[in-house]
Amino acid sequence: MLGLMKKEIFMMKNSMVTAGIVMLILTIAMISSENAEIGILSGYIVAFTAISPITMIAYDEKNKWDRYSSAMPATKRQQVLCKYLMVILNIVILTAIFIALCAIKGETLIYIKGVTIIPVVMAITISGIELLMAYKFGANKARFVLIGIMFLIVFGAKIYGAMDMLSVITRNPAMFYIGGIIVAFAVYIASFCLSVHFYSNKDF
Amino acid sequence: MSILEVKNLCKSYKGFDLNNVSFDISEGTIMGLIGENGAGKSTIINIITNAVHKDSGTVKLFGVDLENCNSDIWNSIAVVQADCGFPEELTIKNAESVLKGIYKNWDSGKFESYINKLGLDFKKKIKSLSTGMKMKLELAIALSHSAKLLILDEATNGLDFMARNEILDILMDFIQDESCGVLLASHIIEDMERICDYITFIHNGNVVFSENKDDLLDKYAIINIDENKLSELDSKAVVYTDKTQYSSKALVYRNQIPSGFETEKTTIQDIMYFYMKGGK
Repeated sequence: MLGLMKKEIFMMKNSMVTAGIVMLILTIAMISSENAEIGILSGYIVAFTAISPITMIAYDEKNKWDRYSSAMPATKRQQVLCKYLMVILNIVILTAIFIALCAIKGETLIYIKGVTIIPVVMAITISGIELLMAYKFGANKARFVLIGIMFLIVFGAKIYGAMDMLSVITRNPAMFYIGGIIVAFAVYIASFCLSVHFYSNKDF
Repeated sequence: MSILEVKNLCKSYKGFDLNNVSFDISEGTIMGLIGENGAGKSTIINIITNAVHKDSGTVKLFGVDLENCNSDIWNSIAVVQADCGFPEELTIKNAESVLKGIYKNWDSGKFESYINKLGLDFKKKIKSLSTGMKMKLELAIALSHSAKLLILDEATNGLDFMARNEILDILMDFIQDESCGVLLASHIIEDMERICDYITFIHNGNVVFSENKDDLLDKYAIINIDENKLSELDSKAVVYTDKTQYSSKALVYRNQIPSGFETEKTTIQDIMYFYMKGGK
Protein backbone atom coordinates (compact mmCIF):
# COMPACT_ATOMS: atom_id res chain seq x y z
CA MET A 1 0.00 0.00 0.00
CA LEU A 2 2.88 2.37 0.83
CA GLY A 3 4.40 1.64 -2.56
CA LEU A 4 1.14 2.38 -4.34
CA MET A 5 0.79 5.72 -2.50
CA LYS A 6 4.38 6.59 -3.45
CA LYS A 7 3.53 5.89 -7.07
CA GLU A 8 0.54 8.27 -6.95
CA ILE A 9 2.64 10.94 -5.23
CA PHE A 10 5.44 10.63 -7.79
CA MET A 11 2.94 10.81 -10.66
CA MET A 12 1.10 13.85 -9.25
CA LYS A 13 4.12 15.64 -7.81
CA ASN A 14 4.64 17.94 -10.79
CA SER A 15 0.95 18.85 -10.96
CA MET A 16 0.87 19.60 -7.23
CA VAL A 17 3.97 21.78 -7.41
CA THR A 18 2.49 23.67 -10.37
CA ALA A 19 -0.79 24.16 -8.49
CA GLY A 20 1.06 25.48 -5.43
CA ILE A 21 3.11 27.90 -7.55
CA VAL A 22 0.00 29.16 -9.37
CA MET A 23 -1.73 29.78 -6.04
CA LEU A 24 1.34 31.62 -4.75
CA ILE A 25 1.60 33.83 -7.85
CA LEU A 26 -2.12 34.66 -7.75
CA THR A 27 -1.89 35.47 -4.04
CA ILE A 28 1.08 37.79 -4.60
CA ALA A 29 -0.94 39.52 -7.31
CA MET A 30 -3.91 39.77 -4.94
CA ILE A 31 -1.84 41.02 -2.00
CA SER A 32 -0.53 43.83 -4.18
CA SER A 33 -4.11 44.80 -5.08
CA GLU A 34 -6.14 46.22 -2.20
CA ASN A 35 -9.52 45.31 -3.65
CA ALA A 36 -8.77 41.72 -4.72
CA GLU A 37 -10.80 39.04 -2.94
CA ILE A 38 -8.46 36.15 -2.05
CA GLY A 39 -11.45 33.90 -1.35
CA ILE A 40 -11.78 33.44 -5.11
CA LEU A 41 -8.60 31.37 -4.96
CA SER A 42 -10.51 28.66 -3.06
CA GLY A 43 -12.24 27.93 -6.38
CA TYR A 44 -8.84 26.79 -7.60
CA ILE A 45 -8.88 24.04 -4.94
CA VAL A 46 -12.19 22.80 -6.37
CA ALA A 47 -11.00 22.98 -9.97
CA PHE A 48 -7.67 21.24 -9.36
CA THR A 49 -9.07 18.43 -7.21
CA ALA A 50 -11.89 17.89 -9.70
CA ILE A 51 -9.36 17.32 -12.49
CA SER A 52 -6.86 15.27 -10.46
CA PRO A 53 -8.87 11.97 -10.48
CA ILE A 54 -9.05 12.12 -14.26
CA THR A 55 -5.33 12.88 -14.47
CA MET A 56 -4.41 9.93 -12.23
CA ILE A 57 -6.59 7.45 -14.06
CA ALA A 58 -5.55 8.77 -17.49
CA TYR A 59 -1.89 8.16 -16.56
CA ASP A 60 -2.76 4.59 -15.52
CA GLU A 61 -4.65 3.97 -18.75
CA LYS A 62 -1.78 5.35 -20.84
CA ASN A 63 0.77 3.12 -19.09
CA LYS A 64 -1.57 0.08 -18.91
CA TRP A 65 -0.77 0.09 -15.21
CA ASP A 66 -3.95 -1.79 -14.29
CA ARG A 67 -2.95 -4.84 -16.31
CA TYR A 68 0.66 -4.66 -15.08
CA SER A 69 -0.33 -4.31 -11.43
CA SER A 70 -2.91 -7.12 -11.49
CA ALA A 71 -0.17 -9.64 -10.66
CA MET A 72 1.26 -7.52 -7.83
CA PRO A 73 0.68 -8.29 -4.15
CA ALA A 74 -1.79 -5.40 -3.86
CA THR A 75 -5.52 -5.93 -3.89
CA LYS A 76 -7.88 -4.05 -6.19
CA ARG A 77 -9.32 -2.42 -3.08
CA GLN A 78 -5.90 -1.09 -2.10
CA GLN A 79 -5.33 0.25 -5.61
CA VAL A 80 -8.61 2.18 -5.51
CA LEU A 81 -8.02 3.33 -1.93
CA CYS A 82 -4.71 4.93 -2.92
CA LYS A 83 -6.43 7.12 -5.50
CA TYR A 84 -9.07 8.22 -3.01
CA LEU A 85 -6.45 8.98 -0.36
CA MET A 86 -4.36 10.88 -2.91
CA VAL A 87 -7.27 13.17 -3.72
CA ILE A 88 -7.84 13.87 0.00
CA LEU A 89 -4.11 14.57 0.32
CA ASN A 90 -4.35 17.04 -2.59
CA ILE A 91 -7.27 18.80 -0.90
CA VAL A 92 -5.47 18.95 2.46
CA ILE A 93 -2.25 20.33 0.94
CA LEU A 94 -3.94 22.93 -1.26
CA THR A 95 -6.27 24.00 1.57
CA ALA A 96 -3.30 24.37 3.92
CA ILE A 97 -1.49 26.51 1.31
CA PHE A 98 -4.64 28.59 0.79
CA ILE A 99 -5.16 29.13 4.57
CA ALA A 100 -1.50 30.12 4.94
CA LEU A 101 -1.83 32.62 2.07
CA CYS A 102 -5.02 34.07 3.58
CA ALA A 103 -3.20 34.46 6.90
CA ILE A 104 -0.29 36.20 5.15
CA LYS A 105 -2.78 38.59 3.54
CA GLY A 106 -4.13 39.30 7.03
CA GLU A 107 -7.63 37.82 6.65
CA THR A 108 -9.68 37.02 9.75
CA LEU A 109 -10.41 33.49 10.98
CA ILE A 110 -14.12 33.91 10.30
CA TYR A 111 -13.39 34.97 6.73
CA ILE A 112 -10.97 32.07 6.22
CA LYS A 113 -13.53 29.60 7.57
CA GLY A 114 -16.19 31.07 5.33
CA VAL A 115 -14.18 30.81 2.12
CA THR A 116 -12.60 27.40 2.88
CA ILE A 117 -15.23 24.99 4.12
CA ILE A 118 -17.71 25.17 1.24
CA PRO A 119 -15.07 24.83 -1.51
CA VAL A 120 -13.55 21.88 0.41
CA VAL A 121 -17.00 20.26 0.64
CA MET A 122 -17.46 20.82 -3.09
CA ALA A 123 -13.97 19.47 -3.84
CA ILE A 124 -14.61 16.24 -1.89
CA THR A 125 -18.03 15.71 -3.45
CA ILE A 126 -17.04 16.47 -7.04
CA SER A 127 -13.83 14.43 -6.91
CA GLY A 128 -15.75 11.50 -5.39
CA ILE A 129 -18.15 11.60 -8.33
CA GLU A 130 -15.27 12.01 -10.80
CA LEU A 131 -13.37 9.03 -9.41
CA LEU A 132 -16.47 6.86 -9.64
CA MET A 133 -17.14 7.97 -13.22
CA ALA A 134 -13.49 7.39 -14.18
CA TYR A 135 -13.48 3.89 -12.69
CA LYS A 136 -16.75 3.00 -14.37
CA PHE A 137 -16.36 4.66 -17.77
CA GLY A 138 -12.68 5.59 -18.10
CA ALA A 139 -10.83 8.93 -17.94
CA ASN A 140 -12.07 10.22 -21.29
CA LYS A 141 -15.77 9.88 -20.51
CA ALA A 142 -15.25 11.15 -16.96
CA ARG A 143 -14.00 14.44 -18.46
CA PHE A 144 -17.43 14.99 -20.01
CA VAL A 145 -19.06 14.33 -16.65
CA LEU A 146 -16.77 16.95 -15.11
CA ILE A 147 -17.74 19.48 -17.76
CA GLY A 148 -21.39 18.67 -17.03
CA ILE A 149 -20.91 19.18 -13.28
CA MET A 150 -19.13 22.52 -13.81
CA PHE A 151 -21.89 23.61 -16.15
CA LEU A 152 -24.54 22.69 -13.56
CA ILE A 153 -22.74 24.67 -10.85
CA VAL A 154 -22.45 27.76 -13.02
CA PHE A 155 -25.98 27.35 -14.38
CA GLY A 156 -27.40 26.77 -10.89
CA ALA A 157 -25.60 29.83 -9.51
CA LYS A 158 -26.92 31.91 -12.39
CA ILE A 159 -30.52 30.70 -12.10
CA TYR A 160 -30.75 30.72 -8.32
CA GLY A 161 -28.38 33.60 -7.88
CA ALA A 162 -25.04 33.17 -6.15
CA MET A 163 -25.81 35.89 -3.59
CA ASP A 164 -29.14 34.27 -2.71
CA MET A 165 -27.34 30.97 -2.09
CA LEU A 166 -24.78 32.69 0.13
CA SER A 167 -27.46 34.42 2.17
CA VAL A 168 -29.18 31.07 2.84
CA ILE A 169 -25.87 29.68 4.09
CA THR A 170 -25.00 32.66 6.29
CA ARG A 171 -28.37 32.44 8.11
CA ASN A 172 -27.20 29.18 9.76
CA PRO A 173 -23.60 28.58 8.72
CA ALA A 174 -22.80 25.87 11.28
CA MET A 175 -25.62 23.67 9.97
CA PHE A 176 -24.44 24.04 6.38
CA TYR A 177 -20.80 23.50 7.23
CA ILE A 178 -21.37 20.39 9.36
CA GLY A 179 -24.11 19.04 7.11
CA GLY A 180 -22.02 19.76 4.03
CA ILE A 181 -19.00 17.91 5.41
CA ILE A 182 -21.13 14.91 6.41
CA VAL A 183 -22.82 14.74 3.01
CA ALA A 184 -19.50 15.18 1.19
CA PHE A 185 -17.83 12.34 3.06
CA ALA A 186 -20.91 10.13 2.69
CA VAL A 187 -20.78 10.66 -1.08
CA TYR A 188 -17.01 10.04 -1.07
CA ILE A 189 -17.28 6.77 0.88
CA ALA A 190 -20.19 5.53 -1.25
CA SER A 191 -18.19 6.42 -4.34
CA PHE A 192 -15.22 4.44 -2.98
CA CYS A 193 -17.33 1.32 -2.36
CA LEU A 194 -18.81 1.44 -5.85
CA SER A 195 -15.42 2.13 -7.45
CA VAL A 196 -13.95 -0.97 -5.75
CA HIS A 197 -16.84 -3.03 -7.12
CA PHE A 198 -16.43 -1.74 -10.68
CA TYR A 199 -12.63 -2.00 -10.65
CA SER A 200 -12.67 -5.55 -9.25
CA ASN A 201 -14.99 -6.72 -12.01
CA LYS A 202 -13.14 -5.07 -14.89
CA ASP A 203 -11.08 -6.92 -17.49
CA PHE A 204 -7.87 -5.12 -18.50
CA MET B 1 5.22 -29.95 -7.70
CA SER B 2 3.30 -27.86 -10.23
CA ILE B 3 3.99 -24.17 -9.95
CA LEU B 4 1.22 -23.37 -12.41
CA GLU B 5 -1.72 -25.59 -13.29
CA VAL B 6 -4.22 -24.57 -15.96
CA LYS B 7 -7.20 -26.90 -16.52
CA ASN B 8 -9.97 -26.53 -19.09
CA LEU B 9 -9.62 -22.77 -19.22
CA CYS B 10 -12.29 -21.07 -21.31
CA LYS B 11 -12.88 -17.45 -22.22
CA SER B 12 -15.12 -16.00 -24.90
CA TYR B 13 -14.82 -12.69 -26.66
CA LYS B 14 -16.71 -11.47 -29.70
CA GLY B 15 -15.21 -13.44 -32.57
CA PHE B 16 -12.76 -15.43 -30.45
CA ASP B 17 -13.03 -18.34 -28.05
CA LEU B 18 -10.41 -19.85 -25.80
CA ASN B 19 -11.41 -23.51 -25.49
CA ASN B 20 -10.44 -25.89 -22.71
CA VAL B 21 -6.81 -24.85 -22.47
CA SER B 22 -4.83 -27.12 -20.16
CA PHE B 23 -1.15 -27.25 -19.33
CA ASP B 24 1.07 -27.14 -16.30
CA ILE B 25 4.55 -25.96 -15.34
CA SER B 26 6.70 -27.97 -12.94
CA GLU B 27 9.50 -26.65 -10.79
CA GLY B 28 12.79 -26.15 -12.61
CA THR B 29 11.26 -25.97 -16.10
CA ILE B 30 10.61 -23.41 -18.81
CA MET B 31 7.31 -23.72 -20.66
CA GLY B 32 7.07 -22.07 -24.04
CA LEU B 33 3.62 -20.91 -25.07
CA ILE B 34 3.65 -20.51 -28.83
CA GLY B 35 1.10 -19.61 -31.42
CA GLU B 36 0.41 -17.19 -34.20
CA ASN B 37 -0.77 -13.62 -33.53
CA GLY B 38 -4.25 -13.73 -32.06
CA ALA B 39 -4.00 -17.38 -31.04
CA GLY B 40 -4.86 -16.62 -27.42
CA LYS B 41 -1.46 -16.54 -25.69
CA SER B 42 -1.93 -13.11 -24.13
CA THR B 43 -5.50 -13.97 -23.11
CA ILE B 44 -4.19 -17.00 -21.21
CA ILE B 45 -1.50 -14.92 -19.53
CA ASN B 46 -3.93 -12.14 -18.65
CA ILE B 47 -6.20 -14.69 -16.96
CA ILE B 48 -3.28 -16.24 -15.04
CA THR B 49 -2.12 -12.79 -13.90
CA ASN B 50 -5.62 -11.80 -12.74
CA ALA B 51 -6.01 -9.04 -15.32
CA VAL B 52 -8.93 -10.80 -17.04
CA HIS B 53 -11.73 -12.93 -15.57
CA LYS B 54 -12.07 -16.46 -16.94
CA ASP B 55 -15.45 -17.88 -18.02
CA SER B 56 -14.69 -21.37 -16.71
CA GLY B 57 -11.85 -23.72 -15.81
CA THR B 58 -9.28 -23.61 -13.06
CA VAL B 59 -5.97 -21.88 -12.62
CA LYS B 60 -3.78 -22.83 -9.68
CA LEU B 61 -0.65 -20.99 -8.65
CA PHE B 62 1.59 -22.97 -6.29
CA GLY B 63 -1.35 -25.26 -5.65
CA VAL B 64 -3.72 -22.41 -4.69
CA ASP B 65 -6.76 -21.56 -6.78
CA LEU B 66 -6.44 -18.17 -8.49
CA GLU B 67 -9.47 -16.80 -6.69
CA ASN B 68 -7.90 -17.60 -3.31
CA CYS B 69 -4.40 -16.32 -3.99
CA ASN B 70 -3.14 -14.02 -1.28
CA SER B 71 -0.29 -11.51 -1.23
CA ASP B 72 2.27 -14.25 -0.44
CA ILE B 73 1.46 -15.97 -3.73
CA TRP B 74 1.58 -12.73 -5.74
CA ASN B 75 4.90 -11.84 -4.08
CA SER B 76 6.28 -14.99 -5.71
CA ILE B 77 5.16 -14.12 -9.21
CA ALA B 78 6.78 -11.71 -11.66
CA VAL B 79 5.37 -10.63 -14.99
CA VAL B 80 7.13 -9.03 -17.94
CA GLN B 81 4.90 -7.84 -20.77
CA ALA B 82 5.89 -6.19 -24.01
CA ASP B 83 3.21 -3.52 -24.12
CA CYS B 84 2.74 -2.53 -20.50
CA GLY B 85 4.89 -1.83 -17.51
CA PHE B 86 5.95 0.74 -15.07
CA PRO B 87 4.70 4.33 -15.52
CA GLU B 88 7.06 5.99 -17.95
CA GLU B 89 6.92 9.35 -16.18
CA LEU B 90 9.00 7.95 -13.31
CA THR B 91 12.75 7.51 -13.08
CA ILE B 92 14.25 4.08 -12.39
CA LYS B 93 15.06 5.31 -8.88
CA ASN B 94 11.43 6.32 -8.30
CA ALA B 95 10.32 2.94 -9.62
CA GLU B 96 12.54 1.16 -7.12
CA SER B 97 11.16 3.25 -4.29
CA VAL B 98 7.62 2.27 -5.30
CA LEU B 99 8.45 -1.41 -5.65
CA LYS B 100 10.18 -1.53 -2.26
CA GLY B 101 6.83 -0.59 -0.75
CA ILE B 102 4.90 -3.21 -2.76
CA TYR B 103 7.02 -6.39 -2.61
CA LYS B 104 7.94 -7.68 0.84
CA ASN B 105 10.97 -9.56 -0.53
CA TRP B 106 12.31 -6.65 -2.55
CA ASP B 107 16.11 -6.87 -2.75
CA SER B 108 17.62 -3.45 -3.47
CA GLY B 109 21.14 -4.86 -3.77
CA LYS B 110 20.05 -7.38 -6.40
CA PHE B 111 18.12 -4.70 -8.32
CA GLU B 112 21.11 -2.37 -8.31
CA SER B 113 23.40 -5.12 -9.55
CA TYR B 114 20.98 -5.99 -12.39
CA ILE B 115 20.65 -2.31 -13.35
CA ASN B 116 24.44 -1.96 -13.48
CA LYS B 117 24.90 -5.28 -15.30
CA LEU B 118 22.29 -4.33 -17.92
CA GLY B 119 23.82 -0.89 -18.44
CA LEU B 120 20.88 1.19 -17.14
CA ASP B 121 20.99 4.51 -15.28
CA PHE B 122 18.95 5.06 -12.08
CA LYS B 123 18.42 8.74 -12.84
CA LYS B 124 16.91 8.20 -16.27
CA LYS B 125 13.18 8.49 -16.84
CA ILE B 126 11.63 5.28 -18.08
CA LYS B 127 10.17 7.04 -21.14
CA SER B 128 13.67 7.96 -22.30
CA LEU B 129 14.71 4.29 -22.47
CA SER B 130 14.75 2.36 -25.74
CA THR B 131 12.46 -0.68 -26.21
CA GLY B 132 15.29 -3.05 -25.35
CA MET B 133 16.28 -1.08 -22.25
CA LYS B 134 12.67 -0.97 -21.02
CA MET B 135 12.46 -4.73 -21.38
CA LYS B 136 15.72 -5.14 -19.46
CA LEU B 137 14.34 -2.87 -16.71
CA GLU B 138 11.15 -4.94 -16.51
CA LEU B 139 13.26 -8.07 -16.24
CA ALA B 140 15.47 -6.52 -13.53
CA ILE B 141 12.30 -5.66 -11.59
CA ALA B 142 10.97 -9.19 -12.08
CA LEU B 143 14.17 -10.78 -10.78
CA SER B 144 14.60 -8.57 -7.72
CA HIS B 145 11.85 -9.80 -5.43
CA SER B 146 12.64 -13.53 -5.15
CA ALA B 147 9.94 -14.57 -7.59
CA LYS B 148 9.47 -18.29 -8.13
CA LEU B 149 7.35 -18.02 -11.26
CA LEU B 150 8.37 -15.71 -14.07
CA ILE B 151 5.81 -15.00 -16.79
CA LEU B 152 6.94 -13.29 -19.97
CA ASP B 153 4.48 -12.22 -22.65
CA GLU B 154 6.18 -11.38 -25.96
CA ALA B 155 9.05 -9.97 -23.92
CA THR B 156 11.63 -10.39 -26.67
CA ASN B 157 9.56 -8.77 -29.42
CA GLY B 158 11.18 -5.85 -31.18
CA LEU B 159 14.58 -6.60 -29.66
CA ASP B 160 17.74 -7.10 -31.64
CA PHE B 161 19.57 -10.41 -31.66
CA MET B 162 22.07 -9.41 -28.94
CA ALA B 163 19.40 -8.03 -26.58
CA ARG B 164 17.28 -11.16 -27.04
CA ASN B 165 20.19 -13.43 -26.30
CA GLU B 166 21.05 -11.38 -23.22
CA ILE B 167 17.51 -11.83 -21.90
CA LEU B 168 17.43 -15.54 -22.71
CA ASP B 169 20.74 -16.01 -20.87
CA ILE B 170 19.23 -14.31 -17.83
CA LEU B 171 16.27 -16.70 -17.98
CA MET B 172 18.60 -19.69 -18.16
CA ASP B 173 20.40 -18.41 -15.03
CA PHE B 174 17.06 -17.89 -13.29
CA ILE B 175 16.00 -21.47 -13.87
CA GLN B 176 19.19 -22.83 -12.28
CA ASP B 177 17.18 -22.52 -9.07
CA GLU B 178 15.27 -25.80 -9.36
CA SER B 179 12.34 -24.40 -7.35
CA CYS B 180 11.53 -21.78 -10.01
CA GLY B 181 9.59 -21.93 -13.24
CA VAL B 182 9.15 -19.80 -16.35
CA LEU B 183 6.22 -19.32 -18.70
CA LEU B 184 7.47 -17.73 -21.91
CA ALA B 185 4.87 -16.69 -24.49
CA SER B 186 6.21 -15.71 -27.86
CA HIS B 187 5.90 -16.27 -31.56
CA ILE B 188 9.70 -16.17 -31.96
CA ILE B 189 10.32 -19.89 -32.37
CA GLU B 190 14.11 -19.66 -32.25
CA ASP B 191 13.92 -18.40 -28.64
CA MET B 192 11.64 -21.29 -27.71
CA GLU B 193 13.81 -23.91 -29.30
CA ARG B 194 16.84 -22.52 -27.55
CA ILE B 195 15.68 -22.51 -23.95
CA CYS B 196 12.28 -24.16 -23.42
CA ASP B 197 11.86 -27.57 -21.84
CA TYR B 198 8.18 -27.87 -22.74
CA ILE B 199 6.11 -26.39 -25.55
CA THR B 200 2.40 -25.65 -25.57
CA PHE B 201 1.12 -24.73 -29.02
CA ILE B 202 -2.06 -22.66 -29.17
CA HIS B 203 -3.92 -22.26 -32.45
CA ASN B 204 -7.23 -20.39 -32.75
CA GLY B 205 -7.81 -20.62 -29.02
CA ASN B 206 -7.20 -24.37 -28.81
CA VAL B 207 -4.24 -26.31 -27.46
CA VAL B 208 -2.82 -28.38 -30.30
CA PHE B 209 -0.19 -30.03 -28.12
CA SER B 210 1.56 -29.52 -24.80
CA GLU B 211 4.66 -31.69 -24.63
CA ASN B 212 8.31 -31.98 -23.76
CA LYS B 213 10.28 -30.20 -26.48
CA ASP B 214 12.79 -32.99 -27.10
CA ASP B 215 10.03 -35.63 -27.22
CA LEU B 216 8.18 -33.42 -29.69
CA LEU B 217 11.14 -33.11 -31.99
CA ASP B 218 11.68 -36.88 -31.84
CA LYS B 219 8.01 -37.64 -32.40
CA TYR B 220 7.70 -35.97 -35.77
CA ALA B 221 9.64 -36.05 -39.01
CA ILE B 222 9.38 -34.42 -42.41
CA ILE B 223 9.42 -36.40 -45.60
CA ASN B 224 9.66 -35.16 -49.17
CA ILE B 225 7.25 -37.27 -51.09
CA ASP B 226 5.38 -37.63 -54.38
CA GLU B 227 1.76 -38.76 -54.81
CA ASN B 228 2.66 -42.40 -55.51
CA LYS B 229 4.82 -42.76 -52.43
CA LEU B 230 2.24 -40.92 -50.31
CA SER B 231 -0.34 -43.62 -50.97
CA GLU B 232 2.07 -46.23 -49.53
CA LEU B 233 1.89 -44.56 -46.14
CA ASP B 234 -0.67 -45.37 -43.52
CA SER B 235 -2.94 -42.29 -43.41
CA LYS B 236 -2.75 -42.34 -39.61
CA ALA B 237 1.01 -41.74 -39.87
CA VAL B 238 0.56 -38.47 -41.74
CA VAL B 239 -0.31 -35.29 -39.85
CA TYR B 240 -0.57 -33.12 -42.96
CA THR B 241 0.76 -33.00 -46.47
CA ASP B 242 1.75 -29.66 -47.94
CA LYS B 243 1.42 -29.99 -51.70
CA THR B 244 2.95 -27.56 -54.15
CA GLN B 245 3.07 -27.70 -57.95
CA TYR B 246 6.41 -29.48 -57.97
CA SER B 247 6.66 -31.41 -54.73
CA SER B 248 4.97 -32.46 -51.53
CA LYS B 249 6.20 -32.40 -48.00
CA ALA B 250 4.48 -34.28 -45.23
CA LEU B 251 4.70 -34.04 -41.47
CA VAL B 252 4.59 -37.59 -40.16
CA TYR B 253 4.83 -39.54 -36.92
CA ARG B 254 8.39 -40.82 -37.02
CA ASN B 255 7.72 -44.19 -35.42
CA GLN B 256 4.91 -45.02 -37.88
CA ILE B 257 6.99 -44.58 -41.04
CA PRO B 258 8.32 -47.72 -42.79
CA SER B 259 12.10 -47.99 -42.94
CA GLY B 260 12.44 -47.28 -46.67
CA PHE B 261 11.44 -43.62 -46.34
CA GLU B 262 14.04 -40.90 -45.95
CA THR B 263 13.09 -38.52 -43.15
CA GLU B 264 14.35 -35.07 -42.20
CA LYS B 265 14.62 -33.61 -38.74
CA THR B 266 11.80 -31.28 -37.84
CA THR B 267 11.84 -28.01 -36.02
CA ILE B 268 9.14 -26.55 -33.82
CA GLN B 269 8.43 -24.12 -36.61
CA ASP B 270 7.83 -26.97 -39.08
CA ILE B 271 5.45 -28.70 -36.68
CA MET B 272 3.52 -25.46 -36.11
CA TYR B 273 3.39 -24.74 -39.83
CA PHE B 274 1.88 -28.10 -40.71
CA TYR B 275 -0.65 -28.03 -37.92
CA MET B 276 -1.71 -24.52 -38.83
CA LYS B 277 -2.09 -25.54 -42.47
CA GLY B 278 -4.61 -28.16 -41.49
CA GLY B 279 -2.94 -30.92 -39.55
CA LYS B 280 -5.00 -32.94 -37.10
